[in-house]
Amino acid sequence: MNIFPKTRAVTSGDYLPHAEFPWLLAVVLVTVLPHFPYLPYGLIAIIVGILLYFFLRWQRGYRATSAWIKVPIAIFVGLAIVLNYRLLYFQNAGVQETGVAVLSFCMTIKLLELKGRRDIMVIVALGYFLLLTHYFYTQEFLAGIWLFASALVVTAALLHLHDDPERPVRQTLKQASYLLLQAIPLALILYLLFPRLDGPLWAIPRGQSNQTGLAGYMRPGHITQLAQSDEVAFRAQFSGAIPPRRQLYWRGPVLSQYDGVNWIANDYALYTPPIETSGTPVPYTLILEPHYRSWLLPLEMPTSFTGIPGIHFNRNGVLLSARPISTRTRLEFISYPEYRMEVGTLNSFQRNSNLQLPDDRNPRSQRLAEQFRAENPMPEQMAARILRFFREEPFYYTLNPPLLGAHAVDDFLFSSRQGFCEHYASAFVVMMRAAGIPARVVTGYLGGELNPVDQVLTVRQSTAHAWAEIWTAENGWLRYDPTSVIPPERTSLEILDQQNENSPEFINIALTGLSLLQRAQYQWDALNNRWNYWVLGYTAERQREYFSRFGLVNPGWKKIALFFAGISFLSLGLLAWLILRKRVKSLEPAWAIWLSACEKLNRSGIETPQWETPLALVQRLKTTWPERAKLNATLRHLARLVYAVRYENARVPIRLLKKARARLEPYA
Amino acid sequence: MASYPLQNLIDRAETVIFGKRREITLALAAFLAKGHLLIEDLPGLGKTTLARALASLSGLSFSRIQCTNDLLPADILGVSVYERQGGAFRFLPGPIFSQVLLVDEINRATPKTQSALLEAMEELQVTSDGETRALPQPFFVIATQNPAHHIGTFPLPESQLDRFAMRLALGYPDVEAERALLTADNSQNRLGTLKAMCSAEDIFRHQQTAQTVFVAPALLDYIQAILSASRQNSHFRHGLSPRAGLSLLAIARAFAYLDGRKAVLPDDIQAILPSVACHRLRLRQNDESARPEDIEAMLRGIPIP
Repeated sequence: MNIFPKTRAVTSGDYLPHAEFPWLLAVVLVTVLPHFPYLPYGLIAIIVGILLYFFLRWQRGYRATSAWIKVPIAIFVGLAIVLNYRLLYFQNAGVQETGVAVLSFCMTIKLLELKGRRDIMVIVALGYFLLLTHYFYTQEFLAGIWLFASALVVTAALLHLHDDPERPVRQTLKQASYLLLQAIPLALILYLLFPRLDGPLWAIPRGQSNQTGLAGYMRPGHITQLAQSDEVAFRAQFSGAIPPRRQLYWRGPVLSQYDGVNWIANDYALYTPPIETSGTPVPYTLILEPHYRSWLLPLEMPTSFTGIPGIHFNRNGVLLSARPISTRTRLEFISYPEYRMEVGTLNSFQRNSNLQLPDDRNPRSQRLAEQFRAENPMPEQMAARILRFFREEPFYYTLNPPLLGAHAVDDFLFSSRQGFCEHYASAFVVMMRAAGIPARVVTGYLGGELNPVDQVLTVRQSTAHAWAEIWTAENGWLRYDPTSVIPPERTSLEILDQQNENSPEFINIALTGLSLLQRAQYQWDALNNRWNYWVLGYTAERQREYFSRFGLVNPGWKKIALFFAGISFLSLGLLAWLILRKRVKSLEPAWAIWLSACEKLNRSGIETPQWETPLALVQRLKTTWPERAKLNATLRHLARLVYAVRYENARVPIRLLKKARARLEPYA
Repeated sequence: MASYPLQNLIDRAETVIFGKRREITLALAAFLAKGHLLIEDLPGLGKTTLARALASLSGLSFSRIQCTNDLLPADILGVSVYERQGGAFRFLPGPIFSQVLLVDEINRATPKTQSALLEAMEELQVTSDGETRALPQPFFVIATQNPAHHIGTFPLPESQLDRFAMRLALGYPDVEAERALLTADNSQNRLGTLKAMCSAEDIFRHQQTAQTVFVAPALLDYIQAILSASRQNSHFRHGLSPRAGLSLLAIARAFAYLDGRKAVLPDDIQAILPSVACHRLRLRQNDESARPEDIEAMLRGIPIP
């Protein structure tokens, strides 16, 4: 006997609701599709194949695929995944990729072995998990929105599985979004209060070799094409006025060791060079993209730095973090564009390492340097002489320089005379050293592009730069940028475009003068900046800072847990109160159920006048139709429930009323 | 299991007035709602017995006024007499200074006396010789009257009728009750055996609790719909007053309370509506008060909310 024609047993795994197939397909698509760019092509082909096969089977009456087909596919794909990722795996990278590939495949092939509701539940649960793995690749704002939408689909599928199959899709989606929105406060609390780790759990330098950016060494003459990358290196937001562009030197690794080919940073000794500052301080926030190295790229020259633990200087004035930057990191700096470093004396180690030159390389350059030095005894004069040499001789600035030979600096200075910043900085330092003046190469970034919407400066990999520093006793280390002396007419065209932007001061671009697309681009960048600043920049240190505002200075995990539990309790209580309060007010569904039950009675010939109270109706039926005892009993039960909800202020789940109404059906 | 407050009192009263449990309960509901009761019926149907039974069972002070056409206000309210020894006037309180007052055949009194009584009922105080004296609490008036067309009566005007929260008709007893009545002892004797089953404090407490019974917003809608329907119904000369609405609400609460419930149901309102509304509504066609059938006809036009 079918008493519950429209409700479905939740636990029984013995039948497969085909009405769920569209939802299942949607869940698999929204969770697996975004992984496609990161999956091997073969696996993508197999996944698409399985999906098509599932679709065909579904159209022709679904039956679970036999193990003879499934097992070979599974074994084949398993082996393929292992082989494909083994290389990456042994490089201590790609663990997540392997996991994601396995999960994506399992999720898809599960479609071929559906036997009951249980299998559908497995897919939905797996869907939630797979959603989360998107964060391995990106934590952008857009990804957040996409994940929210995907979670909506998965939740709606889950709801649909437990609901009336005839319920319209729109309603299911609406309810799912209510559920998700209700979860947001909790998510927010968890986000803010859940104890954070200083780095990610999976702090594996992922795809390190693919990273563009500063390398920590330099080989002028060995590459003929500088990789121009639009990738963002970091973003900076100044709380005050933005310094002029000519001061925007973002200091990265300092390269002082030269073997004739490579410039290498051999400067990891912990020692803070004395820095004297003057002029106005420049406070700003830096949001550093992960580069899997330790340097922090502040504006020259920082005196105050917070954001992550263990920030320190090395002896060349490079600011380093204790661990490689493997996540987007928010840092607060105060820098002084006017500074003097290591004034007075240079210790013998520093002096020697910044004068060191391989003896057997670049003899012509060394001779030229000695000649210059003889004419210009002062170091500053010497530097100016070299710059004049660059300016007056036909040196060209290009991103496609010719290859240089074993005496790279000689080749550059006397024959090719084409190069980019690395060539100029390298040649400058070699000549200074040859003339007996301590000098070194500094790499980093120059300038940046200003977003007129939120005044955030974006520094891209394409603005990576190399310049030089020479040491004098009176002024310490002085910055010289030999590249900047090359006049525009000797600069190749693709650079000129960039240099047009590189006007000495930032012109405050009026948004109205931009095209719609440009404006949208700036707005979007600004939105992403906010997201980076507030959401991704919320680190363990910042959390500790917020905790200390609540009087929790350096709390142990017990204190945090208590604090966390307290806040959760309060907010859940508030939520419960809001929901329960609303429930008392919304009594109408109970009455609607009663009226629909009355309609059912009407259809089977029982009059239910509107003025008659439910109990009076029950009483009347009992006396006039005593033989329909079951109907009367069910109706009486329903009437009692309706009374309880509608008149007695009782909290009865609407589900019970629906159940009672459904039970009327066979009798009415 | 819900407890039924005052059920023992009702049970006991039923041993005196046979087969009238419903009326006894309604009368008690009016009492708990702090409303006054008008019993209208032919002589000899047990009006006085009901009133006396309620008074003695509830343990309240009781007095009775038999109205005649020469009854004066002072006979009810009391008079000030000059005392020679003290050299001052002393107020001799009239029968109205009691907790349960039975006013028998109220429509035989003259309009002047009637209005003096009804004013006291409404204000719960008596002003005589420029001095205001409060009536005892609780104060419950049970008035009986013979049907209006009897000879030598002064029918109560609508304004006065409205001050009675409820009007009951006892009606003839059914066969069984009549038989029991005939075979039992003399009713006067039985009345004498009734002992107080509670105190004034108990009644006061019950009155307080009864008014805490929950009324759902939907039922307030229902009451308003009834009031508005009575005002728009073409069969009635005029509709129910706001005071009638208040009485309806209070008595519905008390009625639900006596049934051991914590919430009023639409069934309660339908059950008490004739007793609360009939005497306040006058039919256009014959200028008589509405009959329960008229009320029921009106209810049929109002959907349960």
